[in-house]
Amino acid sequence: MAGLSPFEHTLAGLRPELLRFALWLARDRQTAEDVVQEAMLRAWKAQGELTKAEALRPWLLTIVRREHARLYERKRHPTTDIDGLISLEDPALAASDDQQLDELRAAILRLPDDYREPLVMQVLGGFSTQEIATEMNLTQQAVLSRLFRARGKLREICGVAAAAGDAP
Amino acid sequence: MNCEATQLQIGADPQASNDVLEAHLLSCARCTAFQRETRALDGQIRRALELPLEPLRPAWNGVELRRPAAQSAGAAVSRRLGRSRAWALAASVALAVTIGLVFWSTQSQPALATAVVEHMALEPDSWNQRAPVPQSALDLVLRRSGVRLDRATAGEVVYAYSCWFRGRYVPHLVVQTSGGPVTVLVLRDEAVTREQRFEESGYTGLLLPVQGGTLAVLAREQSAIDAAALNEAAQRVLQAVDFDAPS
Repeated sequence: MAGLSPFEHTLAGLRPELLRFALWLARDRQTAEDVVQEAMLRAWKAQGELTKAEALRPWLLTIVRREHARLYERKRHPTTDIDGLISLEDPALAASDDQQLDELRAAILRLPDDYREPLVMQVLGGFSTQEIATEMNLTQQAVLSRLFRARGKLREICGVAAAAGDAP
Repeated sequence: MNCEATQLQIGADPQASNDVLEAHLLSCARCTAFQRETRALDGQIRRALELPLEPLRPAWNGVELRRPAAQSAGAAVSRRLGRSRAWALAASVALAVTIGLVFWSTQSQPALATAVVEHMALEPDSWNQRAPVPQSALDLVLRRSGVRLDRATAGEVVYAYSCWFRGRYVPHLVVQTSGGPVTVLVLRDEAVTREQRFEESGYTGLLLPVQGGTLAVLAREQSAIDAAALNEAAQRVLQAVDFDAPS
């Protein structure tokens, strides 16, 4: 990476994190790589808009999320073969030594997009529920409900009985 | 705050804390247990999401990066220069472009082969892929360039990426053959007048003119793919590619 500017070095350092985030959104390694490549290019072009260094990470994650949404609006991708993805698409998603972790990863991949996206944004991206609501153009109440339901589904799969009844 | 509202808040944001929530938890063992379980679950979710990813390609595709860099530098120069100097620069550029076009008309084929070989240096891992590319991923790469590929005819595609190459996105594919991997760049709008064979920087390859573009097919010289095998692979890909797909 000789010849890269400090900004490009920082971007390159964050790339694995961006790729991980994109992969959970896209559920497809090639698409995730495409999304991150485009996002890095957009970030590079728009670097003048960034005024605070500490805002870089959420700014980049937001660009990745928007680039993913933009790609999906444009392309109308076919349904992802989750079993194929888990077994073939990426070695990181193939069986690890921890069966429970594998099951949880498979369960997260099978979550509907409406549930998986806010969960990934919150847990992996560190976004607040208000930030997620703004980004997804939803009310905060709708985001809270989706996050509750996402965890509820994962609780069921992980064999943890819900303390309360149905999701509100 | 009742149990339903408390658990909605905890289930939506297990790390959240506020006075009203804490007051309810002090008096409700059921919701306290729910919070404990949900936080434990969240730790597992976090572990599950933090995949140990190995990059498939370099952090920066250098070719991709150079495109905006050049545009940005050009814009900055334009702003700094006065109008007269800008016109002088434009005239110089026009002259250079004219000379370049004349040069290109006689030298474009070697330049294209060199660019293809240089691109290989950016994707060294592409040669090491073994697993078939999922159809959805291949479709995405091809659609982006308005190209269709008959996979059954082309052979097993083990790498597919949309690469920025000489001003446009092109499908960069690796097809597995009995002699080893063969790389194919589907170069829409790149024109060569005749089939051209090249050997350069450890690669042996072919540029094949097709309607709507050029196919670059190459193998590593160290591989077991000889000229005949490369030609056979190139002909298979040639039959399989359709440049007229809607992008």
